Amino acid sequence: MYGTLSVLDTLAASQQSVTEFGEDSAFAAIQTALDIHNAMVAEALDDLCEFTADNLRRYGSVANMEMEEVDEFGAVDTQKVSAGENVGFPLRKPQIAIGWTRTFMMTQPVAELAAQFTAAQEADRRRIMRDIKRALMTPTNNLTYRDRLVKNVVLPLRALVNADGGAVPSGPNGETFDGATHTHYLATAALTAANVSALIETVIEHGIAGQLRVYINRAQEAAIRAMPNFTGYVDARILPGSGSTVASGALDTTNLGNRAIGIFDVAEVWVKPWIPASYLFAFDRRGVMKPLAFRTRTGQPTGLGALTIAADHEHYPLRAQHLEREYGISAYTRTNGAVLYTGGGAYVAPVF
Amino acid sequence: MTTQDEKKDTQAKDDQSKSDQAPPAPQPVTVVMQAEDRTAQAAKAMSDGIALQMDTTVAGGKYKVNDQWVNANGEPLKKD
Repeated sequence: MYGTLSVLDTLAASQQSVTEFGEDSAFAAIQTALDIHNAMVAEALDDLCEFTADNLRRYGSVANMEMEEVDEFGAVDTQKVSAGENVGFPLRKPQIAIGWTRTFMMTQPVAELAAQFTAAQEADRRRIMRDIKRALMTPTNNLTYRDRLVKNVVLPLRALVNADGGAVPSGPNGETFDGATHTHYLATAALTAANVSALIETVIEHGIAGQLRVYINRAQEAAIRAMPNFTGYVDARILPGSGSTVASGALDTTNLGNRAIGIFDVAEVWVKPWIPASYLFAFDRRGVMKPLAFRTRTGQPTGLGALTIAADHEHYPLRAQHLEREYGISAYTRTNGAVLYTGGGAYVAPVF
Repeated sequence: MTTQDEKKDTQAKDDQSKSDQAPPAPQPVTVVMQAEDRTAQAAKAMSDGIALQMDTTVAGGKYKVNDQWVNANGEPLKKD
């Protein structure tokens, strides 16, 4: 998203006032820029989020019963498994206000206007990232969330698997997990290779579909690179020696804060700018069941679910003072994701 | 019957009466169940950096949120 030429550059290049440039023309440029912004955000969310209009779903069940042998007159007692638990998704409406006067429109260059909208888009992106981090890394449920924007009912928002006693689905080989003690919020006082392997295994043991990833902060990159289980990508301009083992993949040398750096066990390790220092996050990127649900009113990040100008008067959208996006993010596939805190023996929730 | 034969006969009767007796009842064995201190073991392993808090030893979860120990539902835990 950064360093990309965008439609708003057209406005930024113009030194005319908004009135001279034309309010309609300015709005058309801004709307196109918003459309591009929304498309990019939706694409970026696809790794972690499933888009939905549902406010409540059922998740997790323990599929373990026992076949019992009987004679010709036999009839065994009935058995029953837990059919999972309710997992709710919130819907919120973050808003940002941009104000201007008539004098501003007549005197200020449209570049000023473009700058306001660029900043608003950045605020929207940061807000979404904050909500993703909260949904993934806060280890506690919120069982008293009230869905005020729709039916005012109470929805149980849950974290990833957190030993709350909820049903945990069986593993791919019939493994069972104790919902009262099994947690995906791990902690260790010292970051070791065994810890990272255990983090990855915490996700794998529930069954994965394909591409496992570990997201780390750049502060942990050196420690990860030094571990024996890690094989790094190399710069495409460097030819590795005949005796060296390297991972197949080119190392991005242009963005040190957001790139894949190599393979650890079976997972690809990514440095991500939004991961807090001392936290590692593992998940299955190719899984059909995403770790999070991104709820909007329509089930798509469009319309009210996109960043839109909330116009007071539809004929004069630029007189509007608010931009808003209606959405909510919460954990859905509670087993597809695990967080490792490396700063102590017990998991401490980061503050966002 | 010679003295030798009498001795053999007495011996045979003794053996017969012994085999008729019930075997001695097994003596009860007291097994002392010692509770395993998993919390201390896990804490030591974690402080040594050799183990993870894979499955918490506290049913219901134990996490630190906003400098407060809470369970999985965000309810404050009683102080030890």
